[in-house]
Amino acid sequence: MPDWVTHLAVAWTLCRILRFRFKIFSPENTMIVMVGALIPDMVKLALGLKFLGMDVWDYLEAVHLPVGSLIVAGMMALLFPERRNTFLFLSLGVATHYCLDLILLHLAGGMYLLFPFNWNYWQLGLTTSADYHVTLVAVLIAVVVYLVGRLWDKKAIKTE
Amino acid sequence: MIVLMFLCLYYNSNYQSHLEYPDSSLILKDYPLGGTVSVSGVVTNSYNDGFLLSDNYHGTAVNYHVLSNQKLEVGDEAEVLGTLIPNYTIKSSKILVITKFDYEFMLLRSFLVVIIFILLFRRYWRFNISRMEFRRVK
Repeated sequence: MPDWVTHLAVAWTLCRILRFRFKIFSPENTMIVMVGALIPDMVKLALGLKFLGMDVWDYLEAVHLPVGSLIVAGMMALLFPERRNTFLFLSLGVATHYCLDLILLHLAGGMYLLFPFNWNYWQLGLTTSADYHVTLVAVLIAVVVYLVGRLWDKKAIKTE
Repeated sequence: MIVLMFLCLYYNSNYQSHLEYPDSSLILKDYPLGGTVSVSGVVTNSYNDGFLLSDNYHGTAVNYHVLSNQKLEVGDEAEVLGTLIPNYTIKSSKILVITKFDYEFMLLRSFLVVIIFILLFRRYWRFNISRMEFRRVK
């Protein structure tokens, strides 16, 4: 996985760009998309459990696969008032996560995107998970979009 | 929740047979001598002809002696593809390294950004324990 800065920055940027056209991508809903972008990495809970002597990584790894992440998103959506919309926002975040993870380089295998229906694996092999250049680019784009967004909002208020 | 549990169990009981190359779990189970393997772990020692790579599978520590010209530092995270020879030695063909600094820096920035994100999230959503759901902050 790229680091969480990248995951959150990309999810936020996507929502901010979509907000120019679709008002439903409000800051509140953007937060939900950002939560969704971290759902696949809930598998990292296994690392915490490992310290307690429980090695459950091989079990929980299914959470870091699209179907598993979407099931978790469905469960989390139950904790929000507009469940259907929340599930869709969380799913969008999950989708951004896998798009980013797909660019990672592995020496063997890749991501089982179609699990449990198919065990084919995919990877683009462009960068490693700790490459901070990817983070820098993601944050830079987010800052540019933020500034453009501010100008856009000011212009919209003047027009009204 | 039940579907997720079945999914996890299904993954756990089948993933080994779909690996491109055997990993530590299969090496411990059925030492594929002379075969190509893919292992990952932390570099715990460095020699002239390679390095010692430590992995841990379900509480069982596995130490591989990786033969390589590439110089790695203790603490680096490495993924190694190579041929398995006796005594847990691997003649490497490809190595992917994440240096100790890069790895720790990644953990640090991820940890910091999550704290910032939680604070941001609380600006817009609060958990209502009596209703057991998040409510928008007006």
